[in-house]
Amino acid sequence: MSKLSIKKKETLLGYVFLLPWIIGFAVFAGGPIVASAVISLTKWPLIASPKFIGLGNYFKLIQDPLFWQSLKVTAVYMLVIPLHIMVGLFIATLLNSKIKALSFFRVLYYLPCVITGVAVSLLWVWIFNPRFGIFNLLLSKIGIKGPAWLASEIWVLPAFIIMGMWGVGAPMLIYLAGLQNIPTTLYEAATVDGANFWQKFLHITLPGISPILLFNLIMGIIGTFQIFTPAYIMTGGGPNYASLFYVLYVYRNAFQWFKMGYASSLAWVLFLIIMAAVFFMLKYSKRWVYYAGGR
Amino acid sequence: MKKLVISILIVTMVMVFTTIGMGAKKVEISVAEWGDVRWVKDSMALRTYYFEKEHPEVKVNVMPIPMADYYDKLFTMIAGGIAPDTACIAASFLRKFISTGSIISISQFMEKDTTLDWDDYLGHEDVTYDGKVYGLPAGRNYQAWMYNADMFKEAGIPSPYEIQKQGNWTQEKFIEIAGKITKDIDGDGVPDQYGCMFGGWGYREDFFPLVWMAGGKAFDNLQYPTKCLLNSPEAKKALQYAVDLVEKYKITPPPQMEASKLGINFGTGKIAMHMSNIGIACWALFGEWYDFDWNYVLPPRGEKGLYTFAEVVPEVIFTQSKNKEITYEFLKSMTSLPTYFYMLENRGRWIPARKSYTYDPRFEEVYGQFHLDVDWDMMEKYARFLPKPENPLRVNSIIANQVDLAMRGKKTADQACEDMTAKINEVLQED
Repeated sequence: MSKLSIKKKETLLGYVFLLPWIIGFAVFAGGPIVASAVISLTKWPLIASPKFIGLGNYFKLIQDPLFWQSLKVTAVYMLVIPLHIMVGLFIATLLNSKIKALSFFRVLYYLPCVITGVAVSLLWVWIFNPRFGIFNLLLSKIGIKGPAWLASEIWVLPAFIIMGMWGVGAPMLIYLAGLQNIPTTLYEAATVDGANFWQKFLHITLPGISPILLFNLIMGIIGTFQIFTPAYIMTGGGPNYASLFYVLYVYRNAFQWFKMGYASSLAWVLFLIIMAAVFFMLKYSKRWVYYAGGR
Repeated sequence: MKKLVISILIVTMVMVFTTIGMGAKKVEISVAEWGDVRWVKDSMALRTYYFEKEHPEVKVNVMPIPMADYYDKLFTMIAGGIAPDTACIAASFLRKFISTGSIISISQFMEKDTTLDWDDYLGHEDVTYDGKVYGLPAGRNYQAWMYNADMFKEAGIPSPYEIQKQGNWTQEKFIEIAGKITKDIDGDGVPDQYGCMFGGWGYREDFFPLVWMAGGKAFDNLQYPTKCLLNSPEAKKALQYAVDLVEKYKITPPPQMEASKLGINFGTGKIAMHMSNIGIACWALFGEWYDFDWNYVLPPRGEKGLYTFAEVVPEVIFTQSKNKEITYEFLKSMTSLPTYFYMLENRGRWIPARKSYTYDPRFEEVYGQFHLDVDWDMMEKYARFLPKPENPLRVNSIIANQVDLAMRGKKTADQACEDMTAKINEVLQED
């Protein structure tokens, strides 16, 4: 050990610290991942023996209209990501200033994130109720007759996007941490140079929190592709599959229709899509992400 | 010496306690039931009363599972090799469990059993496949319209049950009286109370009897359906009747209103009639669900006769059970008349699948005080069982989707019937 160079020692120590996670991953995630890859090549009705069908499930999903529908629904729902970024950043900027009852507001905005998904979903079912819901009541106050949100093929996705803003507290908190890490000296220097608010925001704040923007973007994409609870509780994928999110479709195939092989192939396609999206994000992030201590 | 005595004493005590412990070890059987935790536990305390008295050596572990995830959970448990010993399974879901060998036939026990009064159990056809019985029918459901008697009194209209007794209870009469009750009270152009609610239970449950009453069939075979027949002229006519309730007569809330969720539902007293089932009776009575007078009536007679649907809920024994014989005894006890009357005395919420139960004076004594106008003979006479495709959840979701589209006016009834038939046939072929 004493003959090892400092760099090698550091590397070894790094792996030692990584070891618990690697073991955990191999046992609890790696095994199921490999198993699902094998299962995706079979026809397996869950409580009977699986039958090997090669790439049959993958060919089938290309012709499955519900696969494309669930992909479309999930892709449209991704509109929530830029909204999350903009609103989250806006609130974080406000909460980064010196205002009264700052802690109260920070807690207030983060609070919805700690409420369980099922409770939140049931709450929003009531909020969106076309006759007695608070949303349509507020709209009626300004002379707008609100739609039947969750029961309308057109409005169900906008309803989910609006509801998605409920969770803006999570990225907001991360932005807030990022904003507080930007050295105040930069703002002071810019002020001395005569920069206005927008100039400071564009040239100091945004580059300063760009790694956090990238992180939230990646987490947002992954999270959006994996949305399940609200759709399961609030609409069951309806009306007419207008809110059939991808993971809900995977779940239905696996546990309600007992097509475990097909569900596994859907899960693998989802994995490939997410991986491609993240790869794309990371590859092009070099153009706009600034790391202060980066090499 | 002292140490030796103490050591011998300790060893002896350990051996004595271990032996006592081993001797007292009970056989454990697990039973899964759908419903919320409190209800399942309360109900099972009554249902296991006699069994636990007669079999002190057996411990019954109750496993409540929420209804929405019930079958997902059971199948996952089977796949994981940890199935309970027994569970209740709606008869329309039974086939999947049988075809995968997940449950056993109880005929082997019944043949040797001289005390089982099998003829008194209802729904033999619903639990018998290829001459083998796969469960003891425990609960029973008949589809029926539940009506708000107060709304009929207020409107000065005879109640549906009175109309039925007069022999005039037809689909046309149904539309007529529902139309008289549907009202726009606040004048905003949208009715505030409706004559009826279609699809309140489930589209499959509400749609199939209409098909039968129009003279059609849903599938070619009840137990082993290979072909869906819902594109027949009779089925199209039946769906058109349902669509007309929304579009033409406007006597049922449109699906867009989500009336059954938090808007207008039967419990709010703004729906005069809704499709329900007799199984709800004990819940509504003992739970005092409604603050208005209510009752049941059979569905109105269609062009080709009167049909409703019935379903029994059998208790089954899983193949993975290690205590099959004692589990069979447990099922017998749970579905025995003494158990049911014990439940009745204690306001247990259960409508048993036993013929003699509803004709027993003890039943009349309890239910008679509520003036429940259920004609059990008629229920039995006009009831048909639901078809049993291999994958009922998938078939149901197709029916629900297509009926919903027709009810919303997105498709014609004819097109919806054609599309659902094509899709269901695809599923049947896959299975």
